[in-house]
Amino acid sequence: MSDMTTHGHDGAEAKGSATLAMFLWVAVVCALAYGLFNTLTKVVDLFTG
Amino acid sequence: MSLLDRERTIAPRGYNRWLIPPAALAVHLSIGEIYAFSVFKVPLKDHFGTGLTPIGIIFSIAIGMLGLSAAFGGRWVERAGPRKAMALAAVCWGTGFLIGALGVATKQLWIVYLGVGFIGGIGLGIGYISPVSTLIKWFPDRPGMATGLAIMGFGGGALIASPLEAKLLATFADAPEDAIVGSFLVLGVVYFVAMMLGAMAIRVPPDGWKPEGYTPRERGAGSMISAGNVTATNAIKTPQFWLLWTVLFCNVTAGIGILEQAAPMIQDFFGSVTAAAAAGFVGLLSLCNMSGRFGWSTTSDFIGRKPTYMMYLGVGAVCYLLLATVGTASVAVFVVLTGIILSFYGGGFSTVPAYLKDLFGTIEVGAIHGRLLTAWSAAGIAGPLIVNGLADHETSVGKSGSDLYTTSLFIMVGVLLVGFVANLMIRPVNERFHEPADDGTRSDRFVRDGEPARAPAAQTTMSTGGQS
Repeated sequence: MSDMTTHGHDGAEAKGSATLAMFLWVAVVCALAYGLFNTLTKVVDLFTG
Repeated sequence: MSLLDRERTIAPRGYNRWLIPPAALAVHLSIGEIYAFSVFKVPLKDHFGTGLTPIGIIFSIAIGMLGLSAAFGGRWVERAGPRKAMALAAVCWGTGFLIGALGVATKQLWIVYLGVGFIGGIGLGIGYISPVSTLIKWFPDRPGMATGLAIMGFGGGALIASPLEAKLLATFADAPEDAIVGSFLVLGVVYFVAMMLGAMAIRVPPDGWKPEGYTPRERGAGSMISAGNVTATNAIKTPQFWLLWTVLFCNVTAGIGILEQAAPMIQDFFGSVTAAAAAGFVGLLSLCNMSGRFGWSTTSDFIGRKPTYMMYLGVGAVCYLLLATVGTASVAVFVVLTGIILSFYGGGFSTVPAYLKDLFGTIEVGAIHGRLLTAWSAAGIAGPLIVNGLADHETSVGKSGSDLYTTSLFIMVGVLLVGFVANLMIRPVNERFHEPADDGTRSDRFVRDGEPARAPAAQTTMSTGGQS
């Protein structure tokens, strides 16, 4: 995220959005990992019995 | 100036475009819950003491409202900008669950229809289309990948919601039917917060922005990529819109027929498959659906949109044919074939915004996408009707097992071939539908990918909207 520049009148707002977006990246990856784990454990039943 | 206004969302020069997809994903992962709503079907049935059909109406109303709100709200979404649209979607989707909880608590099923179905459905439609055109404008060099990433979230939402809802139902009471109110309240609040965070994080590119080193492709003879822009009003007057509507309808009809009937279908094909294994099959199909949304849509950036749909429809038809003829050979063969079909189903959804951008430009691609999604609503009725109706008929004439589905599988081959032909017929949009350039001509030279036309006053507003 190093190429993000925050200049102009809404620099502070842009910085806030950027921080929030980085938090959201972490949140959506964790949520998807939770969903994938729970799904894959069920998929195992399909081939094992 | 409100925090939700489009002017407040314009990113400064140099803003990292990779900060945009998580905002879109926050919305799509939230509204994707609707695919997991079946978790509540039995608890709701027991709570209201009714059959599955009246409970199923909640889902039907929600999907119907998705199509209608996307179709009629598309132009407003373009004008208002993505933040306001995503905030509206958050209010509708979150409030829908809260009103639904009230309906469950007071045992008034119509209030659940109003909340989760009607109001929540508006949130689905507006939420589905709101980040799409923004992503296309941030990623003019990779529109398929960008929209695939967001729309993958709609497929992935069920993966998250399904285990989460099962846990909520187990947490709030001993009997699931007594835990619905608490579960709905938690979901309403969690989804509202997640979607509002997405709304606050969304940013539109400044006027004239393009990725560093990006040069829009020159338009060659017969190129499918339009250098002009077409409004939503004009788009529906073109044969290309209706051919693409047919393509989407056929692709969704074929996929939804399997998706809706997945668990009983594999058990009818293979008597040895247990209920737990069938649930695993449903989960695997969800994964194929989700990964197809990202994988195939990204591939379309390299091989082109038309060849990608030829693959979805042509290879999909072959898969259906194999399913009808050798599908009973083994569980592995059945799973591989249905997995491919479902990946094409998901890919069809996520590739279509980029196809629209190629054909109609960017100024109202969100609104055009919204109108095209009526094909989804129509297919949502047609697909299950074909598979369920024929299965019921075959049962009534004494057939069983995989024989219940043979006729419908062959019908799906035909449906996909119709879509294949429709896709073959798609040609570049005639320039008479393009919006005029600055000098009043319909010159293509100045309208570039990610840079909306600026000419007429009415369109200037729209073109700012086009940055959404």
